[in-house]
Amino acid sequence: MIASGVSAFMFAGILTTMVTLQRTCAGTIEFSRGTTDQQRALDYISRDLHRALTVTVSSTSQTLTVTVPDTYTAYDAQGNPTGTIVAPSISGAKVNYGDASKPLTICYYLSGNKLLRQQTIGATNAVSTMVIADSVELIQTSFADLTSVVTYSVTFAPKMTLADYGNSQARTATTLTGCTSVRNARRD
Amino acid sequence: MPAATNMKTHTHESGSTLAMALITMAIAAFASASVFYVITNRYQTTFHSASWQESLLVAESGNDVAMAALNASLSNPSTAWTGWTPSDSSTFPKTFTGTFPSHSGDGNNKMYASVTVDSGVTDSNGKVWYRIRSKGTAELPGLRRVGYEPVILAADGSKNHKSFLRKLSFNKDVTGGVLHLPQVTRSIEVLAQPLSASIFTRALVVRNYMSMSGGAYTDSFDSTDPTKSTNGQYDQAKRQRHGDVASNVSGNLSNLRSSYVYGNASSNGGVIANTQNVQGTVYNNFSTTISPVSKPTLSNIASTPTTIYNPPAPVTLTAGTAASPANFKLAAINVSNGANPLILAAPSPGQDSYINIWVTGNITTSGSGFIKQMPGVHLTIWVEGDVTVSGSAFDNENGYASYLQINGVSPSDSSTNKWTVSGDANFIGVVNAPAYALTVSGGGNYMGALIMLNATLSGAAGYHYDESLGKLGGGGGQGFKVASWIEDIE
Repeated sequence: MIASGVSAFMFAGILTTMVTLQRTCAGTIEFSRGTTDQQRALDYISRDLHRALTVTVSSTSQTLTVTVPDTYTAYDAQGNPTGTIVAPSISGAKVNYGDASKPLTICYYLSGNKLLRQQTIGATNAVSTMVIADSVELIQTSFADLTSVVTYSVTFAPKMTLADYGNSQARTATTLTGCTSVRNARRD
Repeated sequence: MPAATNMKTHTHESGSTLAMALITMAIAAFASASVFYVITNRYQTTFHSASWQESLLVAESGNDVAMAALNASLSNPSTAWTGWTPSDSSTFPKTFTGTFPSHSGDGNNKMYASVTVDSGVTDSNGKVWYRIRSKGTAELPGLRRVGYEPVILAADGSKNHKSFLRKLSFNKDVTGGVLHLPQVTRSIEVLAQPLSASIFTRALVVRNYMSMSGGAYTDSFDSTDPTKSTNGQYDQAKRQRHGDVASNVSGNLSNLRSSYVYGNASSNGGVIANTQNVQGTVYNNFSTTISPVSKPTLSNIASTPTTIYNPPAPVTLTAGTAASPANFKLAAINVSNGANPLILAAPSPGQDSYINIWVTGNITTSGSGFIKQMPGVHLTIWVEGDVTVSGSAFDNENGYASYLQINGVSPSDSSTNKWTVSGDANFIGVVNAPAYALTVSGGGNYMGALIMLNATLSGAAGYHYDESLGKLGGGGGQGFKVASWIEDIE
């Protein structure tokens, strides 16, 4: 009887340890995935902002739209450049690649739990949309247009404990902020 | 027997405990290993991301090296391209490969740039814009393996293998060359624009402070571009946003009082007050060299007149040719009667002709008095005294600011002079008077550009910078600037 009681206590302890360990593992992995997705999102956004000609932040600060020069001779069906960089031309004091009136339009926005990057090639009207971050639930972005500098932040809701899920304070602690100086003279 | 039985029982219990301990440890170790494996991958990705960012910094450093060489080539063409291949002053394209100091601590320990500069791009004026292509490479720290880089998916769920953000090279570079260490490379392309030698590149530049109020505003037009002007004249409907204002001292001394600036507002450090209505960018990293204006050296100065002071009849000065302009040295110009103006006339109507006037005293227009610059006449004035304009002032009938330049001579004792405008008449011309304190209370329109000691603009005047003034004096004379920036993301 005593042995059974001790055994039951030990098993309960082991079970609790295992469950806790599993939840810790899952939480850690989720956090790590969230951080990695944040990094990737920030890197994508900064890359496109660097070369932007125009920048538009939606009134809700949730959508960022930039236009970039159409610098390649060809793209594949998924919108990836496959050709070579076209030679630039000078018009007035502006440098143009391809048809200046038909740049690439790139839009970052959230759809459900996914951060999407939609690219429209002005010359062909080909639209391609990629999922930049999909492994993190409740990812959020925010953009602020400061004329020559655009700031943006990405947060996600960690799930280290059940209480964290959707917890705004826990989300705040995950905020990563990027700040990119638009290299080109803006045309908007 | 009982002893043997006890021993057997003890062995069973010991074995069960050991087995449980081993199983527990194995599960714990497996769980820990799984976490460490995942975390290590993410950690690797973090380093990859950092190196990917650093490779862009290296590419930009390579571009900086090229820009430095281009700017140095203006003053020291024989040595500017030292370290480049070829290193002479005129043969393009040129290439440069350099290793940059790496940071200490974690991360990569080698970064290098490969830069090419060619001169194959020219503008409509035949000026060369240099095309700089810089490739920055940073070695990747850690193991020769991908971190957590899932295949990017299209919105429809299909895989997009070519859209990897960070294109890392572990064994071979893009040319097929075998790598000693894994690396990441980013490439940028920059167009270097030759800057104008003109000093009139902004609507208003002051050595000291600027103060705007009362509805004063700046914008721009281009008298040589019909899409930005109408018949060469300012047209508000075609307003441009290059009416820049700049102070060469701390912005703390300047106050725009919410005046509209359709352009950038810049200062040399500090913070300009009340820039809410600046339509461009507010910078505080502006710095320029504003040279003092010296007295002119004129030859063949006409013996008469020696002064123009409230003349009893209209006074006409006739211009000469570009090679032999008409030169005058006057003690003062003072016109107050519209019936007796000062007229600057071409030898024949509309003929391109030139007049230089050196005024050792003051220039004053008041009442209905005015100075009329007839079509075709290019006028340059040097003035040593104060300038006071309260009448209908200056009538530049060419309609272009490039035809009229007024230089305020900087006093040798570093004192300052006054430039006071209170009338509502328009002014078309450029003023280079860096020792003159400008005060405007009128409401006219100023087409051209101003360089002053300081500026207090309290009237509802519009200052319309003529962008064509930036083209005066040819290109490249003041160096190069980055006109466009793209990244090769393929």
